[in-house]
Amino acid sequence: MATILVVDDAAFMRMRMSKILSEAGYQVVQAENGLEAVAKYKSEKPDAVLMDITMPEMDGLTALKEIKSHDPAARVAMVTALGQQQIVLEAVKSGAKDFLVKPCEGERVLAAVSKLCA
Amino acid sequence: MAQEALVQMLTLVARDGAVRAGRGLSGLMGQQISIHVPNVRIGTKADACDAVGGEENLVLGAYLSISGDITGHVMLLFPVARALECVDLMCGQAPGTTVEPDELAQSAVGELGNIVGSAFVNALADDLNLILHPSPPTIIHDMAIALVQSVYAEVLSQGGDVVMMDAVFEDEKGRTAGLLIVAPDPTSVERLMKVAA
Amino acid sequence: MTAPPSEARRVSVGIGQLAISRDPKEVLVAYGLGSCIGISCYDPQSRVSGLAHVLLPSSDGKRVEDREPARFADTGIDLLLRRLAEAGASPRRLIVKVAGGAAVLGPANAEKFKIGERNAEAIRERLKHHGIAPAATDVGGAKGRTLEVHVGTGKTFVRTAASPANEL
Repeated sequence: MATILVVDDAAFMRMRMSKILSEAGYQVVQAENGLEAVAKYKSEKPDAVLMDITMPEMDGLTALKEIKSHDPAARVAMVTALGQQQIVLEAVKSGAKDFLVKPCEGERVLAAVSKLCA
Repeated sequence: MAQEALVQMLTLVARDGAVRAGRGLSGLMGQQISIHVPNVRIGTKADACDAVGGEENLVLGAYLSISGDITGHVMLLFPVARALECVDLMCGQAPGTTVEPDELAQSAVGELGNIVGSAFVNALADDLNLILHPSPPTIIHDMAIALVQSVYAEVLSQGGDVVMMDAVFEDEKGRTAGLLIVAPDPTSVERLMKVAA
Repeated sequence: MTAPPSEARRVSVGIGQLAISRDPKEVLVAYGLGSCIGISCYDPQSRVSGLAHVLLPSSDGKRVEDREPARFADTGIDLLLRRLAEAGASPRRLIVKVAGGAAVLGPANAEKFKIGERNAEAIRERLKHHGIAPAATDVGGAKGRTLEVHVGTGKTFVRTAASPANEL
């Protein structure tokens, strides 16, 4: 079964996303910030990434760019409260395959992950 | 004159922000949360604290600083018991389950602040064609007036007028669910005035 | 902690306000001092008490508005001392205590919130200018404080969200 890397600085969000994903049969790896996300992407080699944007140490857009430069085929979807037009554009331009604005329903998250892993 | 134009513009933006934040809150808590038409005013009085049970009342909430094209402060406050009820709703638990602000509850409150604060910031960004970055939330747990006056004083000490927006929201039963305060830094107020003109 | 007399009347001294009293049934209170500073004064001989609630460090020569006479540290302290003298207190006998000046948004936001520190410094400077050294201070930190002075005895107490009243 696919492994998903969940990146968010809020323990509450990591817990919620992990629950949704593991109940649907996915393996879950977590990271608390962009720096950890890049490191875990390299070490765990997940099938897809759900990336928050507003985080300490390194934000999600920067982490997205680093992951994409390491692996251009990386499958990353942003999951963030930062739903601004310019931010969506930047994320897509930098290679994000989807952009979910929080809060999002469990079904929306699963649909996005399923599309990513297809 | 310039101030009036600014207040008018911010009121429109604030309404958009209120709609976005209301949607976000309702989604998070699984019930209809409505936001009163936000109050945009130059200068603020302690009466902003009335919405959260008075000046000395203890509140639990989150603070975000804004950077980017506009800089400033965003703060979301709830009376403590109300914050914990929100946590229960967010976790799909019966209200009253969470009795103290433990680590997970604080993280949930921080995320609530992130979502609501970002909703307003997004409205400002999209409506005025700007790029804005809120910081990760700082959890705050203190007397309401101490928090509100600190933001007010910091902005005031940098010169110019304080433009503060406070929005009160309530749940399905008509009970006050929280208070949101947005205050741009004085240099940003100048910039916003130019945009409004 | 010693409680005030049972008929004690709490008088709230809001932001930018100051109050002087000789009524032993009164307790002057400054609620929720974040970056704000509360200055309590007591003359044990004339039994006059005063409390000022300061918001900003300096008037910069600006005119002080009647409705917020203690808004600034400099003009606020000057006025507090003048009013105390008018009420019969002697500056030489005054016991002065200072509380507040916190950075309530925490260390993560310390760079953006210097106002508490600046207020504390301004109060220190102005008191020094008047030849007054505070008998006790409780400033800085990251928690809001409520400061109260019991007019009859001059006893001053500070409490926070996390702790009950402690005598200052």
